[in-house]
Amino acid sequence: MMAKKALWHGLTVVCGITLGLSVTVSQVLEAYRGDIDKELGTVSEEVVSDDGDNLYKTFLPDAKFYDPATETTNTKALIQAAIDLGRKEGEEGCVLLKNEGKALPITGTKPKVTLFGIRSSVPLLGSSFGVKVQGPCITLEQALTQNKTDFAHTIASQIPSRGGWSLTMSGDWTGDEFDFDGAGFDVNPTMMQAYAKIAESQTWAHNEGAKKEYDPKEPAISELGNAVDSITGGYEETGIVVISRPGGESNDYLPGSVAAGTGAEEPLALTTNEKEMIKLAKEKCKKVIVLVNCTSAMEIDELKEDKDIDAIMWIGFPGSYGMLGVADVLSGKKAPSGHLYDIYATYNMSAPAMQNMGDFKFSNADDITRSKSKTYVVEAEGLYVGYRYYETRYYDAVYGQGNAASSTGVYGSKGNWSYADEVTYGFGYGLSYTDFKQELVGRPVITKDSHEITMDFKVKVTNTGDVAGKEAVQIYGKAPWSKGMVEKSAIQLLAFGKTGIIEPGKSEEVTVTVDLQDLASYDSTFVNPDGTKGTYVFDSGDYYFAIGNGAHDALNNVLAAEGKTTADGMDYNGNAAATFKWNYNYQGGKQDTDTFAFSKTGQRISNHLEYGDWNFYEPNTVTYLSRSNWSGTWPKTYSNMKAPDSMMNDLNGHYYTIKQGEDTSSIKWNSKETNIQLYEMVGAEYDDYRWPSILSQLTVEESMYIAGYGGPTIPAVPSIGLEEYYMTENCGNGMVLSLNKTVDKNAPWSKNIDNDKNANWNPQVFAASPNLASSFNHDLMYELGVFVGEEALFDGLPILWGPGLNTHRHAYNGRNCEYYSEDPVLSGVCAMEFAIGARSKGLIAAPKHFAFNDQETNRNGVAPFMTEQRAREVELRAFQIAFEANKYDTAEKDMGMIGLMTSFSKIGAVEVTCSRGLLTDILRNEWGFHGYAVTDIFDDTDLYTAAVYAGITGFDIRGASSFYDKTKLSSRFGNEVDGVAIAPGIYDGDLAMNKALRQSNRDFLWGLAQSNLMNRFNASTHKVWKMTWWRGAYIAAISVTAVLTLGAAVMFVLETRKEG
Amino acid sequence: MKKTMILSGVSAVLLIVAFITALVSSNIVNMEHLSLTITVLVIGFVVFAADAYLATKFSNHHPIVVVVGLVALVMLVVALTNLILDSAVLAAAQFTYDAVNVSGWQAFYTRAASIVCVIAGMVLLAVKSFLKD
Repeated sequence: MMAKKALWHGLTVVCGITLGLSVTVSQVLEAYRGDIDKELGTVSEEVVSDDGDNLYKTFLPDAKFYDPATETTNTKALIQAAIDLGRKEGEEGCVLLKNEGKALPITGTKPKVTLFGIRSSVPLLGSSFGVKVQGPCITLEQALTQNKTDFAHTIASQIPSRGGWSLTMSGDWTGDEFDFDGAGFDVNPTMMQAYAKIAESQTWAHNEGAKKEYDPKEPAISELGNAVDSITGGYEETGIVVISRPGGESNDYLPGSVAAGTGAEEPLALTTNEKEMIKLAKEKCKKVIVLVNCTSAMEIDELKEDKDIDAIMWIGFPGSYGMLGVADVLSGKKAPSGHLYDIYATYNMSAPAMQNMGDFKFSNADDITRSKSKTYVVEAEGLYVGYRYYETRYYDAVYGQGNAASSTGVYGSKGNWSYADEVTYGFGYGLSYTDFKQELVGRPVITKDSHEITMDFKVKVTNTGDVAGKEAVQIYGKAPWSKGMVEKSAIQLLAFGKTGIIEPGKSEEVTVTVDLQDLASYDSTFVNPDGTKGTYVFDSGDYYFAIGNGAHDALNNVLAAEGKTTADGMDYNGNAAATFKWNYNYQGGKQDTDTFAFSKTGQRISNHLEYGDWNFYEPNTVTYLSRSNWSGTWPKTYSNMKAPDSMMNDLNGHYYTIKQGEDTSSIKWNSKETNIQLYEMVGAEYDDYRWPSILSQLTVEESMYIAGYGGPTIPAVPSIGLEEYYMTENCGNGMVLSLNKTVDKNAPWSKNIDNDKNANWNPQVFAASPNLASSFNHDLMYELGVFVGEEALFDGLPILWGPGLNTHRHAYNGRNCEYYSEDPVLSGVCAMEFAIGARSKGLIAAPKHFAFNDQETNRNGVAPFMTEQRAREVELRAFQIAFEANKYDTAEKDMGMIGLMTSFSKIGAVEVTCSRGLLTDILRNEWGFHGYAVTDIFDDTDLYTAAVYAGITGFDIRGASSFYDKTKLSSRFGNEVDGVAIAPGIYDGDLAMNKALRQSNRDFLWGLAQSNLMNRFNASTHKVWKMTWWRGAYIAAISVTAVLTLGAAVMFVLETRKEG
Repeated sequence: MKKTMILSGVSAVLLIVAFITALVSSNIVNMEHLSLTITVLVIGFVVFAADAYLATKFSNHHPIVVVVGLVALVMLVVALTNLILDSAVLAAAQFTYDAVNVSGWQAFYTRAASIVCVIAGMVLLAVKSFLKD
């Protein structure tokens, strides 16, 4: 009897546990239903409209991809367009660095070549995370030899940062294959098979990231076995060697951090096996061409100097289809036209920024209460990032000033510092198969108004060679400098343009506009008339503007104009005719502190980031590099620094104290005076008269939710008819969702997508950001933005968390692949063109990480210290160019980017997310930004109040897919630094916070009103619950286990009664 | 000492461990459902302690003991659900783009420990329910 009772008791509990677990699973599934739908392609909730009025009228795909008349979607055309664009990006991004004896292009009828290096078999196409490429791709070998894709057997592979190898697509590709005209080479099959066999170990993938103790794992020659004997019978004519270094989110390369046994001292230097492989190519082949497959500058000086290396070409991470463009260049179908996005130094450690890179922890970290505030990095290189350092020091060495030629900071030179020994290839450098002559045509047209000076340069480009090709025009500037002035780079890129294809003997005139704001210097010590400090200054004196093949060439042209020659220490004589000298004489030779003292919005400029400088907290502690004394100010390594007491409040997040007792009645909530719905605001201007009304309809709680949930879902806001939506995706090289996982299956172009053979095509296919930057092509940048906007329509997403817009502070940043360049003008223009192109399709491009996300090491809260001059003239200048988008402004419309994501990092000791100086004073007031400004994932929800006050419009607390019904503000944001739980009512006595909430909501909702989200709303729009297979599964599980539990319990009771 | 008492006692101890690890984890990376989680873990501890006592005083299969056990089970399910909800996003981040976030892994492992303790409590509850007096 007892045994039966125990049995039923036990079964009741076991069934109860199973029931409980079923309920647990159901709760988790429902909580993340948005993410689950995205991953599985299911639809658990659907936004429906009872009538079709005004739906899907605002933003439509191109007619090539969707025909509204027949409601037909052509996914094949969409993929073909992606292939064509990827090919173009791959081609225009190629940078030819060396081409002795016209080794390139490889011509002839089916020329025979041998590929060397494991990366010739598994080239890097993207990164481990971020600019990863997904789905079917075209390999280098295919591009060189084939004329049709083999997508069914060529899926891009990946090794995520946590390790492990996998394909980037689950399931098979059963969609279309595509014809293409490949290079027509005959590639040595034996060697390819040998590498393919080695690659079966899955040690390499098409998407990988940087690592500590890096090892490229290039196989030893011995692993190729007898395959090396196959390099005969014509295959010895040309050897193509591929060398690579990966990049991706999360990890950096670190100084000296190389795996044991590689034979390299630094992670970006060639290893023994790589050198042996190159040696083999040289021994076996008559002609050796090296393809540099990286985005973090590798150390390739020995290849440049090696006479047996005939050609070197940088190809970056060319994306899923970019190898077609690389093949076009190798075969001579297209002449290379790219130019370097970064300087390539002989030794990367020679950059002053490398003196302070990596893991630095405050010596008194235990005294800091916030766990995310324990680390820092002092950016003591000051203004001299990337080429600005090498070129400025070179200029000063020629002039014999500032101890520039001293041995301090020498890495590649023997004895005194020498540019030629320290630099392999300069910023902006690139060759073609033809020769171009560039000439300045007349004087530039100078336009002045009270707070702006622009110059329109006309440059005549003549093809003096015998091959058709494109050419980039680069305009550099040099401002007058002498000891005692604020720091200035001796040369800087101001603008660029690109020709079309110019036939031999023909010319094209390119007009390039320079905004002298980009040549102004920030003086943080200047006292403004209103008593504030800091403004942009423009010294009277001689300014030089120069064209050239990169920054170094332009600087040599300037030096020539100044009368310098090789006799003065120049590495070669420049061309004075390639410069324009302009004497600026402001009020009798005074420093101009007026013209650029106001931004284009009319806002007076002043210091807003003083806390970015360590010396603000502890004067005279950090010495920043100065050209007045290169050796005396060469950065020391600031390790083991003690955070002073004056820094503690900032490090601990005490930025804002909620006020009590203020009269907040001027801000109305929950107003019933109007009933405007968001769908009515489609395309409304920021100053539309209806915004105050619609915003006053919000309840305080709704308002706080909007500011609290920035992504990936938008909150449901009943008072204005906004439904909850999954709305964001990552990165800038294409949208992440495959077509059949669109979150907007109501869109007419996606209605039948599940029946489309190409439905599992993933649009994240384009090249890494430095490839786009290297094209120096505005039109291509814009075109990419438009196409990603098309992809967004097919994915049903209105917001893209990208592109990456941080500065390449040094080559060791593992995430350089996701950012454009070390130069702010090049970076800013890339992002601007991309974002404006994307906006034309209703996609909000939200560049990241605003700002100062200068390394991945300790990125979650690291405190980078720098001067405000450095902040404004390097990193922020890129964002400013992109946000202001002056090129696209018209008398009727002030264009600009309308989204951003903030950085995980701080600026100085203050969280970027909470820096009102950055987010409101500079971003909104000086630059005129409006729109969506989201924090990065998990970013300090205990700083909600401070962040909203600073100017963010939404926290990104990933995964809160169904928060509105189930989540309380106070639980999600329960741990404010000052002990206040977030809940409606806490700001009742704080007028500034009421205003901040209102401003935040206005920016966010205005941004949405400009986006493709507006396609899917009208007066009848509402959400309905939908059955999915996973819902059915958990409902069945709960039902069955509930019945079993009940049954066992009943049996237990009956058994107990019997016993009784 | 009765086996049932030992099992209930061990379960109670496990819930204390789960409680501590949840607190530690939340201190590293905020947990949305922390308050509810620690509340049900504390109640669960009390219920298991009562279960140990009642199973000794009456019998392991006395209706009161069964009901108390089911109450404990509900507490465990609620705790488990919330712990998983609070771990899912973190796990997704750690396993995709944030693998080098040391704090994240600390939070993840402590949450995993908490979850293991709760599941172990469930297993012990099941085992106990089959035991004869």
